[in-house]
Amino acid sequence: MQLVNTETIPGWNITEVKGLVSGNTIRAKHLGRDIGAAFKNMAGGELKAYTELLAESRAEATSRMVAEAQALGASAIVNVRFTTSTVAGGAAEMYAYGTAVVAVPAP
Amino acid sequence: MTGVLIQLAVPLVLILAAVGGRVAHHHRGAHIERRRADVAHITLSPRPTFPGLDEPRHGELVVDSVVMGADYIRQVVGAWRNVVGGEIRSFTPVLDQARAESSLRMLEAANAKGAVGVINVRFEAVRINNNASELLSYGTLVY
Repeated sequence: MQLVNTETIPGWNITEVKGLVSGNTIRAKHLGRDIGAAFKNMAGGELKAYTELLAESRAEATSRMVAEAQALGASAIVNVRFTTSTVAGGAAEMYAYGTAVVAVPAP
Repeated sequence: MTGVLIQLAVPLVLILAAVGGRVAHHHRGAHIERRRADVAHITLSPRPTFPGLDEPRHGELVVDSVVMGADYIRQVVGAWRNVVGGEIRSFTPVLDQARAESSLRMLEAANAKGAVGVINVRFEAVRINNNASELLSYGTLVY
């Protein structure tokens, strides 16, 4: 499965559009991580626990989107977009969406 | 006596954290500058196509992010700014550095995969809590 955030894939022809596919996940922060982050926050800098947590969640949302595209028989997803929002109680929603297509190498 | 010690200890810890935060901020900045030289040959563009990089190649998505918080002094100054209004100058360098770190990680990932450019680059910032934000960078690799 090819994923790009451009409308076309260089060197590939899009022969069929299968439609919009998306994947999401809502992840709550672990209490222990939150307390550690609160201490780290006094000195500023990167909060690695959060960076990892969000990267994991985004990968999860992406794999759900890919699974949806595979079910449609697509070979690529173009125009992939990511959005993140904080929802109730400090949890974060990760949403990935794109257009599932069938792409073949250009002659 | 114990009460006085506790009263002294709290501001002392906060001051140490703030000074340490300042020093760490400059260290991170210097670290970013050094790493930037290694990926200087990779083209970065917000355009969906890039002249000279359009040869038939296999595209691939690259995503990287960093969650960065402001130190205590910056938070206090920022809170005061929220009362009187105006630019929160204490937060500007923090987000600036976080975005630089995030795009640098994306470039390093591109470099590791042997890409020559990242096109259609998008940047996004998301508030995590009052003091921390996630800076996300993503784009399509070209070879």
